[in-house]
Amino acid sequence: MLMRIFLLFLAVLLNFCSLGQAEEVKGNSCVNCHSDMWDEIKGSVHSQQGIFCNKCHGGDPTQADKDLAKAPGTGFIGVPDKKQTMELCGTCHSDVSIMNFYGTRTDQLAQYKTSHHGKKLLEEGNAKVAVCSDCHGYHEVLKVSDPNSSVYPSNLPKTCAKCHGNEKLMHSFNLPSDVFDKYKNSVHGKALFEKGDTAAANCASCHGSHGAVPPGFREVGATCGKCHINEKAHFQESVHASISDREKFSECFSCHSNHDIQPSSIALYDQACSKCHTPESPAFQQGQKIKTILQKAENDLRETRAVVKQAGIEGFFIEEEEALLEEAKSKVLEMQPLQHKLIYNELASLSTASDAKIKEIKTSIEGKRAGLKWRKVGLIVLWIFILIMVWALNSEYKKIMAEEKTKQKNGK
Amino acid sequence: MVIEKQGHVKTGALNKENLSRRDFLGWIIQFGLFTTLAGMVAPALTYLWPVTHRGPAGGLSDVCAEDDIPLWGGKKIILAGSAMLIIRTPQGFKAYSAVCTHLGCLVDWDNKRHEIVCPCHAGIFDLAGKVVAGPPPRPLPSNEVSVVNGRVMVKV
Repeated sequence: MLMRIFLLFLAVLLNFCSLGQAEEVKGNSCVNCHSDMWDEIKGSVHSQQGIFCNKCHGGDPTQADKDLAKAPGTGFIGVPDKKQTMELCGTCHSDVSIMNFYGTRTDQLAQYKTSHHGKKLLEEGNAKVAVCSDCHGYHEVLKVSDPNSSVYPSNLPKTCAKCHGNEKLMHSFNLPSDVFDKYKNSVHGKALFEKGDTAAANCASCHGSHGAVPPGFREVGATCGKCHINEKAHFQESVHASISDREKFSECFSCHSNHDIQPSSIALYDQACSKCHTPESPAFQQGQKIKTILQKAENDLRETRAVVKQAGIEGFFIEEEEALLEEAKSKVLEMQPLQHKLIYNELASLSTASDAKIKEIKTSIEGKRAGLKWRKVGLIVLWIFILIMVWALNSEYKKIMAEEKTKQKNGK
Repeated sequence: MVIEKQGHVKTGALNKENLSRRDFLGWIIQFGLFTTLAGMVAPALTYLWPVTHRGPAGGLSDVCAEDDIPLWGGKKIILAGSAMLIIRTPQGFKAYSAVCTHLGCLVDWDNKRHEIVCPCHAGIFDLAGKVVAGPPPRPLPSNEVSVVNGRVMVKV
């Protein structure tokens, strides 16, 4: 009897749960057969807005009969090809009156048509290229801001690598297939994957997303300069700026490379400069001078930081020295973007300012050490004074006691 | 040499050594007691000294005179082991940490654009210390400022 009641309760519960789904798919006969796809669609951004199967695949979802639902005149197209996909997505996503309220841009289709993907598809009819669904997915499209979305910043490089890491496919376009591996080990890739910094540059930051193209010689500086503002501004004042105008020198790329950019290091003055300049040339020597001053500033700062830290460990109050260290550090940090100007004197003036602060720190700590030495001498004097006091009091005590004894004897 | 001690007058080389020793001991003890007493009285006197002579309490630090900073002017100071930026606006004084939240460069005040600018990586903060542009991940920490008798006081 108990078993029957339990089964009845279970049946009622299951029926109740299925009511929600039934309500959602009411009037959408597609899910009668394609229930597995419904599972993919129901969590998507489209289903939440009441956009179901027929918006993309055509057909009449109000027809319960499969043949009637796909009958001619219903607009049924089945699985859209790449060009149809682009157009179908563009139907809504290019319409300001529809997208305005979602705060979504409507120029994606226009951008796509200018991209290398779009041009290959539309001009050459090459269906191997990516369209909307290759990056965003099809049934399970999520908002870009959703961390599970395939185009969320931390997922985007892997999404691009689905094609751009495919050696066979990339070979057919005469493109390298190792860009993801290079990016993964770059300063940007490590910031994104290891530090979880979603503001770090990913594929779309440099190439664009819908209008993806590789930046050309002229565009590299502008691309990097979107984030590296001061580096770009200083570079524009360097001797290399005019060369880049002649397209012989590709701004940032020539020294830093592209996908496998490593953290900036003074070693570049040896590795990158020598690509164009001989070691005997004045330009190379100028680079070496800059390298030396940068190296000195960094070493001095590191050494001074250690001195201040050690003073703190020894028990000195180092608030003032820490503040001065901040100033010295700021000057050294300012040298990093400024070095793109390749003007030695400007770097030297910052280095001099940093040296002055470092000297002040060292003098102050030396003064504190000397003060400690004198305090130790003072401590010894104090101890001697205390010992003399002890001796004096003890002598006086003995004298008083002796006098007391003498008085007692005389009294007796 | 004549030394008077405890009502006795002693002369001559015979008692000189004993008297000197006794007197020396007395002198040492008196000096020691006086020094100890002075060590006890000095902090008490310092405590009793009027508080207003040392500035207001409550963690406020006197950083400059009100007139040292013109309207829409800024001044960088060192306080509590760190650089701080004091800005004077028509609404009053504002104090922010001068250490950029990106990599730690010291920021500057741009009195023409009324912005706080980091010279290293072009980070820009507004008058409220909030990030306007560039790579800084967080706003600049602020400190409470008050003006007491024409002096700018910053709470650390």
